[in-house]
Amino acid sequence: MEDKRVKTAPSKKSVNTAREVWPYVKEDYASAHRAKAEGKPVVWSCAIIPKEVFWALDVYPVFPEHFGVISGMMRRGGTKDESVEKEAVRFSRLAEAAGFASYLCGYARASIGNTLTGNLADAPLGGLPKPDMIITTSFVCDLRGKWLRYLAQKHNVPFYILDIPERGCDLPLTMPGLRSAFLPFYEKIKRGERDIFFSLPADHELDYTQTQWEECIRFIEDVTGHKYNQDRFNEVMDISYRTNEIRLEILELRKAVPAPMGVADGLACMYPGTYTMGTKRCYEFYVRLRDEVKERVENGIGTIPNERFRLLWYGLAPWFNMSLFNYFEKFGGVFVYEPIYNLVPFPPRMPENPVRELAIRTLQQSGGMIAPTTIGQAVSTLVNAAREYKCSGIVTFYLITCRPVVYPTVEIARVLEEDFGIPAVPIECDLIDERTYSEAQTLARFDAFAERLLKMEPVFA
Amino acid sequence: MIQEFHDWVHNRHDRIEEWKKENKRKVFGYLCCVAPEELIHAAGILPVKLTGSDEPISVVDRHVVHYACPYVRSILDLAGRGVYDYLDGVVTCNTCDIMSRCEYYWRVLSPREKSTILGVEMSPYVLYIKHPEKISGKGVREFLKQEYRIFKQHLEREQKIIIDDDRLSRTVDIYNEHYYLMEEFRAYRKEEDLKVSGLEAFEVEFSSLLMPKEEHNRLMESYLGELSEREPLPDRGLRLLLSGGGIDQFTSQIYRIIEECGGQVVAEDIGVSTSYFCRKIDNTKDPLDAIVEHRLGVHCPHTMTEDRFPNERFEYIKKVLDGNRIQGVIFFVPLYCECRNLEYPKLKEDLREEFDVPTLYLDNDYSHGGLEEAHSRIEAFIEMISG
Ligand code: SF4
Repeated sequence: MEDKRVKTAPSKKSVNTAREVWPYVKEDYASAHRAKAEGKPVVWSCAIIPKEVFWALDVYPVFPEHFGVISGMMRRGGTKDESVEKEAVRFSRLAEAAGFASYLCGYARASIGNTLTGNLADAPLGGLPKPDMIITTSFVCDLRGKWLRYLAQKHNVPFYILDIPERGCDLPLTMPGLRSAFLPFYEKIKRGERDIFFSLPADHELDYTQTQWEECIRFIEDVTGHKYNQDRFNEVMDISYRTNEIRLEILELRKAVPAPMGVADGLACMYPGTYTMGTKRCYEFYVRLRDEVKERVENGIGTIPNERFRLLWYGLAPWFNMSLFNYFEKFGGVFVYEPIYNLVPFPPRMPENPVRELAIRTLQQSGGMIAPTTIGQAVSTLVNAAREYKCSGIVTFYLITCRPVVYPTVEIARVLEEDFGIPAVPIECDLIDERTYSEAQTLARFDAFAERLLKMEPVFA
Repeated sequence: MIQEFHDWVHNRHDRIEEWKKENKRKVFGYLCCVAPEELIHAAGILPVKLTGSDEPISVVDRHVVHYACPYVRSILDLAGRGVYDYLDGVVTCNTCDIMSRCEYYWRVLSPREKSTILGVEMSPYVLYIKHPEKISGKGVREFLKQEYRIFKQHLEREQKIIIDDDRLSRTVDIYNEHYYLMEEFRAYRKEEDLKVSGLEAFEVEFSSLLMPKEEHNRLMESYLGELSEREPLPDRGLRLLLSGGGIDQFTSQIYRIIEECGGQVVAEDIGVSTSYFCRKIDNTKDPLDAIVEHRLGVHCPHTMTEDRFPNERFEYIKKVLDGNRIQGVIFFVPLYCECRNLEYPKLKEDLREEFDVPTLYLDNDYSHGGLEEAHSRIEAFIEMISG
């Protein structure tokens, strides 16, 4: 891969609560190291796995994915010297030298490279404490199973994979043919009917997922000697449920014109909900955020003073250069919404059987918009989002190293443009490996896109 | 005999269409070797493996990104161009990130109206099976069995028949005969005095995925008879294991290239067909349970297990190596195939440590240019081993 240094910068946040996130992250890394020192079992896991079981069983979860994010943002020793490459690049080189392809997700290459150095701590924020076990899932991407298995092999710790049926589409399969009758999804949305994000999974999917969770609990019990306690689990599930309700309120508030909280804020504020859901601290963060966004809506305060066009963002984030989310502001453009990391409603609480409840939730998310498995679903999610958030254009992250994110991009762009008149522009690179990014190409495309949008009537005014 | 296998491999579309016309039977295509062929067979339908081609891509770019497996892109391009229009159904399983999306891609690229009742399509043209990623552990058999029941129901509606245990058992017998014959065949490849080249062996095995199993079994019996009489190959070459994916009638040229460079593939870890996994279907059990168990025995790179200290793929490759006196391993991995790439560094280490076997890693970009480039690297690899 070409060796070049690109000009990158963090995003400008509009919402004050978003500025709390970085201290929140730093505190998490520090407390993970404290927990490890105190002998608390540390589990390396992944973003998409609900965290409630970890809190309930008193193990400390940390995340190679998030380690990838901070490696993509920071340079060695915390220097701001731009001649020093970001840590993600240094680690990726090591992983590639060991035989891992450069087309693999940057998160994987970063954490593998860091492990291969033999010194986990020589990394941003002191890196992740050494794992006592690793728990991942089959859900969302193929990579997270094999990547974390490799890390488990290297650290020689027990490994568990939570297998979640990859639902082809989100409709129950119990009735023959039902699924195909609903394809293509966007036909329904074209007629102005709302698509169904999720439906009750079929029984065998639920039973299997529940078993996977029960086995996960048994695994943690075996490895740590800690015992599962349903009351404690319910406490955590309660907090999660309430937190999600607040997060959904925030999503509703974000529909306002002018946009009170844009994508730069949204992607910063995903951290507590993605990695610490089920804790009081996380709940309180979103309450503060909700209050602030509400106040901004009530007072008509937008991310930028004069909104001329609103944009939708599809995909994860180019963490190494978040300033891109402010780029359109000079044209009066604002990124208003990103489906990623934002959850769908949780199923109602089932305190008598919270593991079943978790299984339902896991499957609903698997069919939901957080990580759509099917292309049709991704397309319909984005069409609905454009309508609800009144967007006239979409920027798609042509994330060359992430199969689930990159696969739908062509279809999203095609369907949105051809069927709904919503133009799309791609940005093509990895999420943390800045060697894959071309500033000249990206900004030229963005400029042309802004010109085009300024000449257009908004589609969903 | 080998000519017949070769012909089915290289003229597959014509042969299948001819068969279909002559027999007035239906044909279902499947994308991945875990698809439960046996159920399709038991329904009286010919299951055929879908493959790509070396023809230039023309329609797929409008729907599928470049950063996707070039082999699958090629298959989808053929679908979009109508080459697979002779199929009556398509089966796709969740065996990797691109495969699980092929249900959508196929429908968009090759739309097919089927009659509906009250808006419900009774026997869909494209069927998706959620094959578990974790192939062992609690609950997995029941889960897959239910997926198969649903799949079977679709087939029953398509054919207007009931696929009962008798039908299933008859199919199981035919498939077991196939697995048995292939095992017998594989024994020849273990011999020091090789009688079969890697390429010939591939075509023998691969043709079984395109023609009726009964016919393949019949041909195999005579072929094995011929083989017992055959003289060993004049030039045996270095004994190699081929590990990879996206290998079909086009990319199997890699075998020829290896032979030209002085090597000979004597064993494979290439997915392609379940017969490579050398397992029979347990005919003492309920047939659906036995088919489930059989399919869960496919240790492709996508699969994981419940092992707490997993190294199952290496354990599987060890079995493939057994008795084959392998001198080197060539990994021929489809571009963007994360499952195979992610397991490679550890397998390389393990092969080196436990067997002192060197490895070569090649990207399979499913192109003529890529195959040509492979030539010099294979040559250097074989030279290196031969010292
Ligand atoms: S960025 Fe994509 S490939 Fe990487 S872990 Fe996330 S979903 Fe998987």
